[in-house]
Amino acid sequence: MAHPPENHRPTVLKGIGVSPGIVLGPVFHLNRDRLRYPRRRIEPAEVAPEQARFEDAVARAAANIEDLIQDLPEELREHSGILESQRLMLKDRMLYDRTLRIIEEEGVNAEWALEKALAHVRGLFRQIRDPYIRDRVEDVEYVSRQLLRLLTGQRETDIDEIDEPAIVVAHDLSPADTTRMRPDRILAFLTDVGSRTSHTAIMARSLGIPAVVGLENATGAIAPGEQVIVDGMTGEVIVGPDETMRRHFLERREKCIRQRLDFIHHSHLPAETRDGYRVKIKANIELLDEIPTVIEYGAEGIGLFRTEFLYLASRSLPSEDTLYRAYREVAERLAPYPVTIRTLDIGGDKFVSTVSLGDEINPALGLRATRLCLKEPKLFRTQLRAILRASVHGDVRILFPMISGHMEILAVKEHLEATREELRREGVPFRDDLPVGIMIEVPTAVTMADVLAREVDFFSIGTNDLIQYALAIDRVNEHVAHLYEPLHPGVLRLIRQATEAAHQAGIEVAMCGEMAGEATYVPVLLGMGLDELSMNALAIPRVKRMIRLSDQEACRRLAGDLLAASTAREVRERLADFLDQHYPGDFEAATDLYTALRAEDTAASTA
Amino acid sequence: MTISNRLGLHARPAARFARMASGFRSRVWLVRDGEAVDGKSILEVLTLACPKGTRLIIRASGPDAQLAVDTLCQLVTDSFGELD
Repeated sequence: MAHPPENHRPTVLKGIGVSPGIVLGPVFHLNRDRLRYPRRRIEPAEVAPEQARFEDAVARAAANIEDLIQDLPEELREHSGILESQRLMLKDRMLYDRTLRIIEEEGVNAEWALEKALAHVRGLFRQIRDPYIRDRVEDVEYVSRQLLRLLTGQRETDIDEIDEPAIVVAHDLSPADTTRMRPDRILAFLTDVGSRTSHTAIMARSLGIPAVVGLENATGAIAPGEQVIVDGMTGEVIVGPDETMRRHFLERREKCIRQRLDFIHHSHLPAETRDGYRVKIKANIELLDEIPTVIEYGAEGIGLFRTEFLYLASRSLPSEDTLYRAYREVAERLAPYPVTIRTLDIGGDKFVSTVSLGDEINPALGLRATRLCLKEPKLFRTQLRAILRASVHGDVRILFPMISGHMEILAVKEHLEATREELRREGVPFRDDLPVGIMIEVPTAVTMADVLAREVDFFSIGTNDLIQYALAIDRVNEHVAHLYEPLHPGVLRLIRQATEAAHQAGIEVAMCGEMAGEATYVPVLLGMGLDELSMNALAIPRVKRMIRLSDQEACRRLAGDLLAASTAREVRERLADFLDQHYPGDFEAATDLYTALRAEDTAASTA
Repeated sequence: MTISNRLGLHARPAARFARMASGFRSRVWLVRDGEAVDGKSILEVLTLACPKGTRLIIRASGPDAQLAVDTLCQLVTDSFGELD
């Protein structure tokens, strides 16, 4: 094994962390892009043998894939579809027939002909707008590389050659590569290319192997045998770490493992404080494939199901049936837990190509969310029908975003009632008493909260927008984005006011913004008396843990203290002290805050 | 026909479609916005790029054309047997 030079300085590479875990180990290079092959013209007499050579390579590649499918371990069985589609690609006329034809018509050798056929396929894929389908060109590339390998007789290094635990570095990995990765030998993998949705990322997560993709030049920057530290969560890769870094990372790793074990043991325990205050913990989701994680991480339902993806994914507006099927699926898979479906929240910084919105000077304050739905009743009604129809398949709730006052909630409820009437007339079943909630994200919704609370069954505070509107900061505007501050005392007061109004009216109040998923803010939110927190599923175990370590009485006092503060900085300092005092085993939470304070100091000194 | 599975006509459904289409003696076309591709070719089906919500026409000609169209339509209607 090669050793790095003595006076080697550590380098940090940053990629996209797609599968969590921290590991340290030597690098094994999986060469996937060094294939060299001849390009030559052939004589007419050579055409038939050259074609036969290609056909033979295809047959052998197909047999290899067949073997892989047979040997697939149980936990990866569901991914066999990827291999199956690769097998079909081998014989696809775009690749197979075309290569054979090019050999004959252009008089070139099989490798060259295949390369030409592949170039054509690449060109077609490049024009595809849908990223998920466009990325399938990876499979075509992989299949072609296999064929070239067989044609040239060149060997690529093989995953099976790894005989001691190592971190695999490659330009790219195919699904077939990852199916052969044994978690006991492969510590992690790093690739130059790739995205969060690539098959390899998905499979890394199902195998539980830490992975960082999109490193751009991991293959060039890291020498074989070199030691690296990989953080599959942050996407950080440290090449040739020094002693201090090693110690630091090994500590973090140990903590990570302990935490993960703790999470698995405890993620299904209720989120209850030491003094018996029970908070509902739910997940925010956007895509249906997040559901298994939601369940694994111990969510008690979905507090925010964003429905925009159905609109973003299609060229035309999705039909009522399409919407209905998606909503129904989520409701059924989560049952008996509740699913809160948020009606369309587009406009502002979220665009949908199928809904034409004029250019607006200030879209954050423009035609968006419920405002847009009220202006486009047909769009709105279709969605309401789909949600109502899905309501008989589980515990469905409906949530209207960006309500700014009483008139809007009345208008929305009118549409809902009219839709119900329509379904009744048609004899279509739906749940009559489906709970209706509104998002509290406009400051006037807070000041009118006592009035609005009489109209609905629950509130859900959307902190991202509430903070933006309360502080008059367009998050998309780079000049002011840094002023965004969840711990601004003014923001805390709004949260408090909305919560109190809800409780006085006897309804529950949830929070579904980013703020709800920050473990550091847990004591603040507990102290404010929120009934439910909804967050990214991955944040759930840590937040639940914070809640179980908490004492609500103490949090209540803290909240009172923070509400009396006059600056965000003061809030942060008091909260950091509180965390130090009450969660001594969990320095990370306090550290986060101290880091923020330092950043603030730097900003102030350079201003 | 409308594509209703979540990720559209991606690798797995395209594979199922092409494999099933290949089982018929008739020629099978998949038509979107007037563009027709060979339904037996997974790459052509993929490059037709049909995300969820795409409207498609399935066309076939040959001895078992009717059966081919019926069977393939059913496959699309059932979201390719995909649960996700």
